[in-house]
Amino acid sequence: MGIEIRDLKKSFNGKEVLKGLNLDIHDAEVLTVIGGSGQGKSVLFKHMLGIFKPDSGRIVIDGVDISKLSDDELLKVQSKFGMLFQSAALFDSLNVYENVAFGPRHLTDMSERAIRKRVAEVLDMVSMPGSETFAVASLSGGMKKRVALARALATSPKYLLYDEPTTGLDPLLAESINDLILALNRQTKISAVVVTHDMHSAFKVSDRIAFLHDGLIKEIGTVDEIKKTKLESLKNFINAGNSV
Amino acid sequence: MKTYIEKTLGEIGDASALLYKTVKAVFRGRIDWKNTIDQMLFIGVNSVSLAVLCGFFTGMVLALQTGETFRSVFNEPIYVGLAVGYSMILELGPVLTSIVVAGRAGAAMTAEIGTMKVTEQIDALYTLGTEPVEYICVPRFIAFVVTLPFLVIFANCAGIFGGLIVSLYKFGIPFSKYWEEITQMGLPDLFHGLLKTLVFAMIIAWVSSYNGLVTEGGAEGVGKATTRAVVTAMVLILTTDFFMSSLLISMGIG
Repeated sequence: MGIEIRDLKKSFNGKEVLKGLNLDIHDAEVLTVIGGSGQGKSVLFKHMLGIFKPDSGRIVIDGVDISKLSDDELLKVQSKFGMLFQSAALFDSLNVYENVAFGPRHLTDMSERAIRKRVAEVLDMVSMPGSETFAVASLSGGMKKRVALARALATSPKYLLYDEPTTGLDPLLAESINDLILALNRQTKISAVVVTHDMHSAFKVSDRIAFLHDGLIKEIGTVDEIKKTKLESLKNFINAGNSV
Repeated sequence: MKTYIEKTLGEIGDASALLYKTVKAVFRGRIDWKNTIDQMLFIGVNSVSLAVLCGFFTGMVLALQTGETFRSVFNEPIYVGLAVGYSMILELGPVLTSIVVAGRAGAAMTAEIGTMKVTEQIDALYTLGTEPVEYICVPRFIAFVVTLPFLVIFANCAGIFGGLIVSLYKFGIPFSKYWEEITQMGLPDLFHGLLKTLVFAMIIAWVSSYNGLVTEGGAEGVGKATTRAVVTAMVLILTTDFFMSSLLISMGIG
């Protein structure tokens, strides 16, 4: 049924970050949200996850308005999401296996044997087979992102959120993450929402692109439609991104 | 001024909500036992030598000062055992051990939770079907409440032993006399000290968790949160000590 965001407003210390944002995310699509720093992209993600409560507006996930749920009900909706955080956000007190097994252990009634199998499977999907015993501190930036992606995939989420997936990676690694996002979407039909500044990445992985500016979605469309935009601020953003 | 008051009231409200959620989760039995035992080992094993050392020297200095004072007033170092025993068990054991543990384990806890917050690990917990309060605060809360009384008992024993050494070798007070004074204390006295310890343990766990969870702004933020947690815990321990002591004395406990 997808995600529906209607008239979402949020302020911090009197500053309005989201000013009545509307957005729909369809099943099995890759939607990329682009926009400058401080425009509220991460805030939007945190509302979708129920971590932030909106000042007003609705966030409806598969027909359920999450702004009215109790903590326990919200946890059930949150478990439909996997998220790749910008900093990977791996638990550094746990090794790779414990990190990837964390979701299945807390969200499913899988046996330890089944979890072990699932962990191996998702690590294989992200090209990190056999890394179960590695300490998080020993991983490079790209490896951390891959393990974080495996952790997000381990519970077979319906929606995957990628926060700046290619930021801080070298071009080859960034390209491999783009390929991975595409491959996962094609293989698993998971709906993906990507937040990025990286226009190359946005054009490569997206079915649709939304431009977030001044607290609102100013433009939304397919890659071709966005490339032909007449909106000046979006044109400037794309041109600046392409020239980097 | 109005903004400051609003901010402070907001923080008190958030901190109270965290305490309520933590206690509620404990009573609902939502406890991650593996994590809880790890925390108990971290707090207990790593702090025991520090607690014993502090207790030992506190007992020694208490015996020294009491003996010298009474000798200058009464020409005889009397009541040294009594002074050391009551001071350690009613006040100095619980208060000093709690302050030392707040500085050691409480600070480490705020720094760990604060780092988890600024590196988005707390947000990651939500997407993995885990309520951060249950995974992070509850195990630490239980670990402090269970472990701190044992640390205080060890510190009290070390303090009484330290006092004995000074009494024996500095003032020549016989062991039997010292021990007779120590054993004049009753169960209510022990209960008085331990009840306060339980409350101090809750204060350290609560203040450390809260400051960790509200950390913002990278490494600098973690440093500030840690300092704030230790200072707040110390001030709360000392103020609560006075009010709890007054209450327990008025109830005839200790």
